[in-house]
Amino acid sequence: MNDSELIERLGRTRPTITPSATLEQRVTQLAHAKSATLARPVSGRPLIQKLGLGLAGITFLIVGGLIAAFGPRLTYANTLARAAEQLGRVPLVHATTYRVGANGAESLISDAYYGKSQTKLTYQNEVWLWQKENGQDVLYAQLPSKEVWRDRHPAITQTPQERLSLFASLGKAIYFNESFRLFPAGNGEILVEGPNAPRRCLVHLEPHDRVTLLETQVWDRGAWHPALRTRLEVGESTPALFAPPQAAQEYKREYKGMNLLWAAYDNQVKALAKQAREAWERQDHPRLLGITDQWLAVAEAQQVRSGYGLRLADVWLYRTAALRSLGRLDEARNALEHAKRNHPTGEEVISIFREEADLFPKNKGR
Amino acid sequence: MTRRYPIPLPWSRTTSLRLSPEALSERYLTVVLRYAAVRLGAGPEAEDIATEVFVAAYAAWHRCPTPAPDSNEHDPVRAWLFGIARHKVADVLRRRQRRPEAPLLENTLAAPFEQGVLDAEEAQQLGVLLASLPEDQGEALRLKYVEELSLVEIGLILRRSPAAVGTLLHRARLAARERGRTYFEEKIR
Repeated sequence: MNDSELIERLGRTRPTITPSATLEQRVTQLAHAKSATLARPVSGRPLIQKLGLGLAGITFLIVGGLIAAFGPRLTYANTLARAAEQLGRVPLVHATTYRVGANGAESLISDAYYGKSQTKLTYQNEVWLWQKENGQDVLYAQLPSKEVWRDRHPAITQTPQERLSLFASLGKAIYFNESFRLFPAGNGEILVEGPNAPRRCLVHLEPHDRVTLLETQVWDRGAWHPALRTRLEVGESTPALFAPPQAAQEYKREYKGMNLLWAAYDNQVKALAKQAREAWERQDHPRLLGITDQWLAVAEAQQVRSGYGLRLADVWLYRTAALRSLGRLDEARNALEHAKRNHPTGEEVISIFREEADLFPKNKGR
Repeated sequence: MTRRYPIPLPWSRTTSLRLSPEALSERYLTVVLRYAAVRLGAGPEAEDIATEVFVAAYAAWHRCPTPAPDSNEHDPVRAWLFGIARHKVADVLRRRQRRPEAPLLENTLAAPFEQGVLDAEEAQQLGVLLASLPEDQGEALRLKYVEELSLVEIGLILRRSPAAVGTLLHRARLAARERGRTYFEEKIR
């Protein structure tokens, strides 16, 4: 018997059989019962269908969750953005910042006026003025030492958002950006809390999203305490508010250099330095000593402090050299001490002496 | 009321493509009964097995495969039902071995055969022959040449790959030819 015969014989063993009526009826009943069970949305269905949640239900849950998670944040961020834009539209914002003591008492720290293109800040007796000049941001500063200087500076707030964040930062608060959490504090206030920061900013909003108060709070002994308050008032801008210091105006007329009164002093010193150099080269020590007298008088008149570069050290170096040559050694040593004090790196003065003047040959080689 | 969604949901396992319970019984009752009859002999026992197969199938309805839409050769639903039936038949055969009530081999191919083709003796000898083979080889020969299932379907039932089923069938044919040589050669002479 080969494969074909085996296969043929097996094929012929296929019985011709039909189900009995009883069997058909029994199985049909089973099928109907199963159909009825499937029609009920209970057993044998996935959990989601058991709960009666369709596609719409799942979508509703997901969208609802997203709204609950991000909705408030977006709402308050939008509110702050509108408030910032409003601050950007007003002609003038007057911001006063106070330090809040433990007993709640307030002490003034800074007083600032924010115009459309000008900003003036009074901070601890210093006056800082930013304004546009020929399309550039320029900073004037009037310091307690009566120094007035002028420089390019990008500190003028350019956008409403930057302006609002500047108010917050002036109050040593925090910047608004996407990493901060926003949530309501009641009474129209929004809290801005940074990640891992022990301080937060309370933004008080009046109707129509007008910001009137920024309060920096610090976390101390298990509670938030107000530390700084910045009150914001809007008003009309007047030129007098942003008048630059008188000295700065004079400077504007006369100079285009970097410094202001410093520049006048600088010109005088340059002339004196040239004369001193010439006297030194001619070994005209009496004249050199006289020049240093004039130089020191100019510095004294302009209240130039030490630390303004090598020039004040130079005069003392020339003076030391002149006194040494004239045999007035004690005064020379005294002048050298002045040179050291006025030189940014006092020890460097010694090396300058050794190379250029060699005023003290007996110390050579030490 | 059956819930219906306008689009098939990912978790619904393409309900709309699956057979209804009525269609399942209508389409496969005869083949399941025939399979039981081949193994156990025609009679109430085969019908009981067929009933049990459909009871089990409806109980495990979520596992019922979707019929292949464009393949007449590979029917996963038929293979799934034969798999159930195979286990039910094995249970009956085990019971018979423990409590033999009737000669085991007589019923092995005791169904009414195609008329005038095989005599009872030859059918019985084929039954003896298949029963003497290893169980999977005999089952493979029955499924392939009696039930005319494809290699894929047999693979689904026996949990083997189609290639492995081919090898199994080859070995089964060799063994059957060897063991049936004496009887069938004498009969031919």
